[in-house]
Amino acid sequence: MSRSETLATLRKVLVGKNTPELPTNIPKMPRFKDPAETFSKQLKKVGGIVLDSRTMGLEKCLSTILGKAQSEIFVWEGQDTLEAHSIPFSISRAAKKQKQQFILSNHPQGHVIFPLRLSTVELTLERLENTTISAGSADVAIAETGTILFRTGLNRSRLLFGLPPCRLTLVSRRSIVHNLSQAINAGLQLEESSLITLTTGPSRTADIEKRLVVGVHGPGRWFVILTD
Amino acid sequence: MKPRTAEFKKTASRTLRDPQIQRGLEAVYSNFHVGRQRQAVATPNWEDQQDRGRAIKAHTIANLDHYLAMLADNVESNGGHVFFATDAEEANRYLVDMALDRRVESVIKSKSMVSEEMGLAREFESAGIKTLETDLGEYIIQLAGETPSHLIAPAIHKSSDQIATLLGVEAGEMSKSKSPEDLTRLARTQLRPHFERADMGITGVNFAIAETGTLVIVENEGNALLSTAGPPVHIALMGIEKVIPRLSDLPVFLRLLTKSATGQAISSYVHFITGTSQLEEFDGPEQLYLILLDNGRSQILKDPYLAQTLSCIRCGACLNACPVYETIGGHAYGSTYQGPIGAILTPQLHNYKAGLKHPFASSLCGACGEVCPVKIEIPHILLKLRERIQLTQAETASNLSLERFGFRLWAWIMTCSTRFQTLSRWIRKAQRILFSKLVLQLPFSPLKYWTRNRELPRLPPESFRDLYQNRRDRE
Repeated sequence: MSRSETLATLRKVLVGKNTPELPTNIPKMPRFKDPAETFSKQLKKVGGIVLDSRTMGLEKCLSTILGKAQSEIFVWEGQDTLEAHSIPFSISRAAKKQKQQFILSNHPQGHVIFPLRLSTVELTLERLENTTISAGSADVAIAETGTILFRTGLNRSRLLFGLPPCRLTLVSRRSIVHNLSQAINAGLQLEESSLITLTTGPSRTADIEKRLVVGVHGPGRWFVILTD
Repeated sequence: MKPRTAEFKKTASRTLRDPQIQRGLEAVYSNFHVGRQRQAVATPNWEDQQDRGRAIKAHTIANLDHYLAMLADNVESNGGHVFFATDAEEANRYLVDMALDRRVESVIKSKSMVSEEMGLAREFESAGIKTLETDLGEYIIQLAGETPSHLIAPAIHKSSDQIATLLGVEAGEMSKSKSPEDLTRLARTQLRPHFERADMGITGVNFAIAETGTLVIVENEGNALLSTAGPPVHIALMGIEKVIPRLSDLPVFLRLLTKSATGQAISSYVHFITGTSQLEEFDGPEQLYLILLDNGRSQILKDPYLAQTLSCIRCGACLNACPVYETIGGHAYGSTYQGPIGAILTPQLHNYKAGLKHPFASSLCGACGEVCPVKIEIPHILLKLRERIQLTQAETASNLSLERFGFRLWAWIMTCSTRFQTLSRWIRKAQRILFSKLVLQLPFSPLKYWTRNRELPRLPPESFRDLYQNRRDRE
């Protein structure tokens, strides 16, 4: 049946029926004294690991994450990620000119020293399979639930976000909103990306005997660094 | 799936005797239901949010034609295609033809109850298209050749031993490799290559926002994300009732859904899909097809009271609270939707040709209505469906006249104290003579079934009137 026929059938069934009003009042949603603190608390509850650059310094935060992920390499979603959080880096002039950029920083023995020395990387399936930790930035985070927002766009890949076993997201304190409604009503800009994902902690399942297991398809280790 | 509901009682008796299913079902209450209770208590304006959710759904359902047209227009202007399907057969035919035209060889699928309703995976397989479930529970069920036994926990009836065998763990390795962690890792390894190579990805849709043409998918595992990352074509399946008017309506439903379903404040992933992959994006589908399935839903709208059935957001909270579901499990129902919501949905979706016993399989305790996040009056709908089924089904006409006779006789006795006293005196005498044994079973219907596993309660030796009279006489 065509679209017009289906809609006509529905119209016929619905004609003369009572039509309740669409509610306009917005229910009161939680607000927090210190959204960053609530964000950390909520994310830790669901198995996320939150590090604070104020107390540890960014270099140490990144080194700690490499240690926990048992890796020496970050694959970054473009240099704009690093610029947004004032992470010093150096990159070749030729690489700078490339539009679509996935960049890699290599840290022997897991020690991160600034400035990061970056090289561009072609994002092949093989590269994705061998990536332990992908790193990006969230332009919105939600205190109420410990959630970060990922959006597709230039230098963003769904596979790079969803496949590796570990994920690092840099979250600026300024980008943390109080609650889900605030994030959805003000921060989504749906028309800009074909996919926006609100992600809260590691990928999880309880499909086998109701026992919680993390890392079923997506990242099992979920790191966030809070920046200023 | 085609419902196989005629053998409801027989299948229910079988699951009652299956210790593994019974063990699995215990977790439904202790994990999901208790988690939901905690969240409901911890959310200060839970009741307000339920009312708001119910009101939005009531408005949307009453204007379904308007919002579906708006949704279709916006999905198309975002670059997607929309297909309205009257029934499962039409939807399956459209998708199989499309897949064959594009020479699709392999399909990956994330969880979708509508696809179960359509029996889509079987149709694809019959057409020679390899279709793989990627939700862990659904993957296990697919390997077992079964259907889901719970809306959100499809493999709840399976033990880790059974799952290990299904995943191909060798018998000698069994003791080492049957922990849920090991089995999950094994399934991840088995499924991983398919995400990268499939020609088509299929997902369900939890909510579709009419004003923006955005499809919202809620999940915990990350397989829906990957199903829309690698394959060049994304097929999104939804029942027509899943549309909501505005983006601002979504937060309330997200809260209600995740808290009611699993007791989580929010699921691990909430995806907003607006159109196809844009030029500068690295991956994502080049084409998006949204299938809007009616399959009996528009018929439910005819009755203004029963139309609230379509407000369901498929959280499964009513299953987790239901003493009947908790005892017989999901497979006993023989239909896509089980438990209390299945009991009201199945007969209506199938125009009263299937699931007719389901509304009677309820103790009417009211737990389902109490936990429903959008306040569907499930117990009242069960009663209404019972009435409708009794009145319309010719096959139950003889039972109906017997029932009517029984109630008339009961009224005749109860409305006259002399008749009531005489009858109770006779029963007391009769039970002393006839039922001196411990177990009381009645040989005739309908009490035969009731007394098969229970004792008929005995009347006390003396009635209240007799006790009162004797006491007065003594004084």
